[in-house]
Amino acid sequence: MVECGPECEEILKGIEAYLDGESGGAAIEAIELHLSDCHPCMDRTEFRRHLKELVHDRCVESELPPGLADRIRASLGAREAGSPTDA
Amino acid sequence: VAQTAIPLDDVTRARFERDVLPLLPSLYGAALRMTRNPSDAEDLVQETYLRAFRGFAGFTEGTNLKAWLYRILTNGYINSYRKKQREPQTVEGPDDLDEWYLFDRLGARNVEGSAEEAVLDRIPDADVKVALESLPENFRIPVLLADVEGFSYKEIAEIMGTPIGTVMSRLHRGRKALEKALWDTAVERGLIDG
Repeated sequence: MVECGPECEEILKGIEAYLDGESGGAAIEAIELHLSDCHPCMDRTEFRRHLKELVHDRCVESELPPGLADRIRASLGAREAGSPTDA
Repeated sequence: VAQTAIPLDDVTRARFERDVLPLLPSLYGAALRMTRNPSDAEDLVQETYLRAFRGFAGFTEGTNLKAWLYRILTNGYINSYRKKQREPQTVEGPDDLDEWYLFDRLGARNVEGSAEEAVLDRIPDADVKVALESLPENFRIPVLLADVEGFSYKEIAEIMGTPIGTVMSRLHRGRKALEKALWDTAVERGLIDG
């Protein structure tokens, strides 16, 4: 439930694209102007921004299984050496 | 289906090693979130590299290499692992969820100020992964590509071979489903009273 006015509803509809960096210049301006003056909408926006960052930080994988890079390199080399017939 | 291999000359091969191999950690991570297990993820990534290697001579330098690789990865996942894992291709989505599902529920618990964010932060890493992995594939892949991998709507549309409007709608519904999964996790973990 959005507690503020109809303008807020309109602004909040555009927040997803805004946070995804997919809004155009005029939309960005309207959103930022509204947010600078509307705490409830700012709170919602910051919450979604935080959630998006959290999903990124928690779900990004930084460790590879040991030896995977070498196995891939080896498989590419083997494929190339052994595959002139299937060209 | 085997593609016709185009033999790579030394320059192209060097370019492959320079540009494509460094993307391995990122591709493996995406494969892990798609297949949901390390052994399938490793197979999927190996297959992706073989296909990319075979198709690399036909790839135009200067175009979006990362999106091209993710397209091979995503197609590989959809064509083989989905069948293998017998995951139903869910077209139906969580349409009936509130727009601000998580924020409004956390707010209704009278947590003040930045406490909504604080509850999120207390959810263990593994549970956030499980929440993402619990989404049906049609929703999981766009959320993964947008929020974890940082692709634009246009790139996601190219990777998934769907119109941009479909990407936006699935992303929107997928994120709502993710909010619900995170809420359920937080309640289950006793981080909030359900």
